[in-house]
Amino acid sequence: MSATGDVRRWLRRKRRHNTAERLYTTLLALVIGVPTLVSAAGGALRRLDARHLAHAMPPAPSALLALGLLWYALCLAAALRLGPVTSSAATVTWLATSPLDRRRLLLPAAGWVLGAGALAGGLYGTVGAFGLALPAAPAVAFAAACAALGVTLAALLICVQTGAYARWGEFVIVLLVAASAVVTVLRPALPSDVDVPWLPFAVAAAICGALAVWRLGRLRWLAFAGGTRLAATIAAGVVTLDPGLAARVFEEQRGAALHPRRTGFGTALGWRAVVRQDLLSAVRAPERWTVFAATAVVPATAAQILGTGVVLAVVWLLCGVAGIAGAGANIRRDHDQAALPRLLGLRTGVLTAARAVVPVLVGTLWTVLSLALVDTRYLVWGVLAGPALATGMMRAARRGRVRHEFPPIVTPAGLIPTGILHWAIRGVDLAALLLAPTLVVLSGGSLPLLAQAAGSVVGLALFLRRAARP
Amino acid sequence: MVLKVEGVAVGYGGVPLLKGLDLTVPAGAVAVFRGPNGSGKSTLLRSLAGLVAPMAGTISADGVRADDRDPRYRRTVALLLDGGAWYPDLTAAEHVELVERANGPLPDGWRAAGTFGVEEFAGETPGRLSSGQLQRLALAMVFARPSALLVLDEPERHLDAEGRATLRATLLSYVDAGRAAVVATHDADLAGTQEHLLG
Repeated sequence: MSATGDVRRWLRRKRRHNTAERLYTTLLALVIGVPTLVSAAGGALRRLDARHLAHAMPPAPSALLALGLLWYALCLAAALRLGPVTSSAATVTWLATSPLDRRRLLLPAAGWVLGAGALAGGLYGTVGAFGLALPAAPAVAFAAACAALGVTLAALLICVQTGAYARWGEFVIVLLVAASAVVTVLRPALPSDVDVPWLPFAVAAAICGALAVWRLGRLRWLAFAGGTRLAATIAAGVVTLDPGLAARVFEEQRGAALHPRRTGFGTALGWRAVVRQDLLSAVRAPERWTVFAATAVVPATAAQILGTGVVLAVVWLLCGVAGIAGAGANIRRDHDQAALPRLLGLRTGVLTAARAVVPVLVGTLWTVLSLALVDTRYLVWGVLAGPALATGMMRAARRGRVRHEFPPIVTPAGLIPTGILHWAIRGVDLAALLLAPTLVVLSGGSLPLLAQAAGSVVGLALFLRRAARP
Repeated sequence: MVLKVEGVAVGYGGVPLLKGLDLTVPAGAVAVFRGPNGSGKSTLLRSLAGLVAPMAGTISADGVRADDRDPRYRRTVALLLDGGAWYPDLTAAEHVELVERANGPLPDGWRAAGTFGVEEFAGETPGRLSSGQLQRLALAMVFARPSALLVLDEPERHLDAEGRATLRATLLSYVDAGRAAVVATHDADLAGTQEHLLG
């Protein structure tokens, strides 16, 4: 049997993408891209510092901890679905089923995961040190400790993948989101000027990294084959500028894993059956509620770091549209596959209104919860803002695929395809318009509650009327 | 080579599709599984290949428990599941060579009768091949590696009449060398030495 290294070397030599032209293109992209990105990020940080952080509240270590918990929950969720160790579909099919040493075969992929963990942790540490206004030496130690923590977490994610811990992992994600919410609400007093001992973190990273590499040999084929397929789909979505592709495939996969024991329609008929279907979808997708809770916590932590302001308003709006997006899954499905709603035999207006019931309920729940976490005096605003948020989300759910026929525009940053921009802001635009009164209040302004009530009622009614048109 | 299946239950999400399955596939046998869509053929084949642990019972080949994490089991089993995956920049011949390199060359006298006509498109990359040619390439790759047990899920997919005939002949030639095969199929002409009806 050939050694894994020999096969990999042979494959590298044979594959035609390793040409000088490819190398040249990659180097050129790096030479142009890296300085552009660094310059843009530096400029954004300086503007953020000058305009917003000058008015921010005192550094909030508890908020950083809450964000860190959410960040890890997000990583864990991604790891459980995408790997984190993945490979090309061809390698999964032909090499991973051969007697080649699986640990050696997957080692490069694991190396990328651990490297990404170090990078993400380092970035988080750098931003955190910046937020806590640490002096230079402790800031470097803090960033190094966070980078080591990132490696540790990445290694643990690989360990999770190498065991059959999918259900356990989902439970941990819920716990992390709950812990983040508790930290956000209770705001425990944490020291912000500690001298972070980075060495124990580095030792933990080394031990966990070694453990992860050792566990690679126990990785089941199915555990990385499924993630590889989904990662390839996401990559295809990026290449073809179709970001919705991954969501559609993920929904298909999630549906395939479901085993409902009984029907939940009861005696509901007509439009009530449609509402019942949306409720069933909500019940059968617990991860949507985790996203709902996590996104509801983010604005509160942002408020603790930045105080009220435009940034908080933008964060709240984006979290809102993302947080309740799951409630629009059936609207998206109806819109993408027109044959499905025709099977229901309902008038378009009735069906559109019925499909709006659950999103409005979920949207209201989200706005109430998220605004109450920011400050309980916004509670009534939350009640009134829910239908407006749901309306924006429903518009986003009906956006379909990216329209590539739109012309690109020339900007100082380069050529921007407007189709993808149109796709990305569709829904957020309407939500921003209808939620303008709440956004003004979150930015520090003042408006009467009636303005939001009018925005919600009129916006929802007009949207439903327009959406019902054939 | 003997594949032993004892009291096996397979399914997913805690719901068994097949229960209490006992089966012995000796050397020289081709076990053919037939059944309607959703009867559990592919799920059973995944368990036989060691990719999924059965919900109950044991599966072993030559005394080695079915587990894809065990290199001994991977050395024993060659499998072709639904759909192939390809390196877009390798030719058809290089795909076959890759499998030979990864698994080691076939021992003398183990070469099955057919190569599924891969030589006709040996220099082409997968993107230029039809679905039937890709299926022939996948079969050629599976037969090009040393194995004692072949697990094939609907291998007749996309094949024309000539390709199906080659498949039947190659399978018989494969098991004649003291090996065994397990096939899930909808091809009525693919006769095995054992027939199992599921569902």
